[in-house]
Amino acid sequence: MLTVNTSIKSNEKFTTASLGCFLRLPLTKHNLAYASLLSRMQTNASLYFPSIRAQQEELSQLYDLQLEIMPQLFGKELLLSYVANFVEPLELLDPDYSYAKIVEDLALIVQHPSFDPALVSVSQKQLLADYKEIVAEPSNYALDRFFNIWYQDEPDYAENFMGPIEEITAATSGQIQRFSDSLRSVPTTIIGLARDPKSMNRLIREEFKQAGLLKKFMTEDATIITPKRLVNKTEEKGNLQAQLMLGYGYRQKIDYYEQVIGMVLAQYLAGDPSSKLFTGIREELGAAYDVEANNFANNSLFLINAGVAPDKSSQAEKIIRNEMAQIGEGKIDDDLLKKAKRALVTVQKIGQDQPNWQLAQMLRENLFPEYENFDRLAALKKVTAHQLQKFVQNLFLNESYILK
Amino acid sequence: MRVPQIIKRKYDSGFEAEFVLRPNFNQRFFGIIVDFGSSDPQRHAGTAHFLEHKLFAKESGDLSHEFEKIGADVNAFTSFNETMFYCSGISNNQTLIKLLFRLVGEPYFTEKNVAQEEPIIQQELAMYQDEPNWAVNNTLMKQMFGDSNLGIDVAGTKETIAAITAQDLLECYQQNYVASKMHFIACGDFSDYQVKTLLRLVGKLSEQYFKKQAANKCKIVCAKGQLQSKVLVNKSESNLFGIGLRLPNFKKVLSSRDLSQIMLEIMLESKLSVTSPWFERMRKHNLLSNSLQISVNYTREGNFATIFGISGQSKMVIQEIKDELNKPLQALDRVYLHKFYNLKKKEWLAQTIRSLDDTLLSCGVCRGKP
Repeated sequence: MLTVNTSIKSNEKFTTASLGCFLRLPLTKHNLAYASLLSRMQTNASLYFPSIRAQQEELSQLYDLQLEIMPQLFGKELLLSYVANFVEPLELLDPDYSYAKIVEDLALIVQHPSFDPALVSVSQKQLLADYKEIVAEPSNYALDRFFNIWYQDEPDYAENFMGPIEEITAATSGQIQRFSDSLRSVPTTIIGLARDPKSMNRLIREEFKQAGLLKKFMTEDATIITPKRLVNKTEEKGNLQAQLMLGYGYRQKIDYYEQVIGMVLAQYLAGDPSSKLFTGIREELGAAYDVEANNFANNSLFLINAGVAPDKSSQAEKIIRNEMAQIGEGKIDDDLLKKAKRALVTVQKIGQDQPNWQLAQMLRENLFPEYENFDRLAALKKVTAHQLQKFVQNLFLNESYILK
Repeated sequence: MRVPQIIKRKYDSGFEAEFVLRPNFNQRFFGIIVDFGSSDPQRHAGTAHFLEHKLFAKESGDLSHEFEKIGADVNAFTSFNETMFYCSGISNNQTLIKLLFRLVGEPYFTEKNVAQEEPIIQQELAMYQDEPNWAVNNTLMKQMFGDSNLGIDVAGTKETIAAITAQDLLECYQQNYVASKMHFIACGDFSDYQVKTLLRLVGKLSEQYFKKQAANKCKIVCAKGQLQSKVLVNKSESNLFGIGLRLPNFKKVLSSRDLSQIMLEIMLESKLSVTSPWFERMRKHNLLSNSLQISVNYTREGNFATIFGISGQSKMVIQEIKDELNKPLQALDRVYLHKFYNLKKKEWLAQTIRSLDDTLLSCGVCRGKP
């Protein structure tokens, strides 16, 4: 019997239902650019709702159904994602508003894009305008530059926001149609949360007929190995705040348990007001309003960044390097570690109160092998100071980038 | 449709409390809203925001650390007429409420800790000032409301932040952090017994920390700026533009300010949203491709609407918006408007239902400067 990649769980908590359709393809600059353009085109209009007004009015008729179409990056993989959130029909009891009507409309939008050149053109203009506004913000510009340097030798992985804007604006209607046609057979999954999962599942199988739904969606290895850069770079732009970014690469690949340790490290360093870097850079040095640390496991990157007073950026960098060295030597504050773990347990439990969080977890269970069987909460509680030390010993400072 | 269960209490001191029940939710959320914000009378612009930052400082250190010890999160924000302090966790309700009252009710301002905070707030301001939309918004507010507190950023200016002293903070606190200007809100899965017990605790703590005193009635001045158009020099490639509309007193429109705000937003969107005939024309003439961001705000010091957009030909678009807003309704518009209004009603109904899934939205969080 054929396995169709659909999985709808029972929604016992929320007034809204969620559905997500995800198409998996390899991350390349080209794929990202075209996926961004196609996403925007489908957000605007489709074959059956051929103008922005028509599609917008149809979604408003469905009690403001929220449909987000966008590419998402998971290491080497690019997911073209269609995520819908809508009021459960049982909350409204409107005879014209049902699962059948909702799934039918979603299938029309997702499976029948329009390639009207006017639609391509307006979507290109929108993305160009968005792009200019995004990079006008120093924190975004710095992030873009950071990744461009990090992946200098692997440019397919260097793009962050929407792919090369030149490629987006140069795309023709025919090219984007060929790209869209090629997506029919890429691995696809449909997941969701609905009060009546059985009928939702049945409706999805009736309306969504892509060949990709029969292909294996799970990916064996999405991780990009750290490219060795060992770079220090500073750029001057005359901003009021300097953007400081320190990227640590992994020496060895990490597993799910080590990903959790990375999360704890990020929390220990910058997650709370008492965390190490928050107190060092904000409270003691008075150099920043906020400090962030993030473990990008699929990119083999542990990134620490902060907007700092330009004249204090060297001191802030020193504090970060010093703290990482201290952890590597095993000098870890046990009380802070306990706090960091407790905070993350709370975050995990509060996450269960949000439909988007639950859908994101379901997606990971479908995308990554054995993710479903990995107990993150239990893992979080088990993390020790020694494991934190080992995690840091597996890191090396690969890139330091400052935008002034 | 599910109706949220809300339990309210008003204490003799004037302090108010409210519990919004969310069955099956893990999160327990608690907040104290103070009816005082950045545009209200204060000696130096930015004092309300500075006060919000500095209330975390206690003689024993930063009170956030006590919240962290029980795995809870704590934060605060300042808006034009309100300051809100809030925390959330998954257990320890009583401890969280006690800590929250201590946070808001126990000021500890010294020259040393105020001097330590100043560069942090200056960095917060610098962070916003590097963003192109800050410059546009700041200019609009100044043009509408001049150098009044409403015309100046919630955080203040570089100079006013530097001028704030521990004494200023204390005076401002004593005038405004009084029981009759405060409101407690809780949201989560609480049993009847828990609600009763916690309401008793809230009453006790409000008496312990906040004075029963009539709110200080300062004369409200609705300042007026120069109401001129400005072109800002831009070092980036941003094509952002903004329009500010100074609005009259809402009481002349409807008795409810919230309803006036909603109605005015719907009216502006009916003329300028992506589904309007006007927007279709703008797109055909290559003047606009992205939707406009429209919002209507009311404050004690003045009401206003802002419209933000992106265009390479912003001067022409601004003129088109002015013309459209000044244009009287035509008979032909009525069919479109009727349809538009019915869709908006559906959207508002959906928004109300959605808010039941969102603890923070239910409690009015995320509408100010942290």
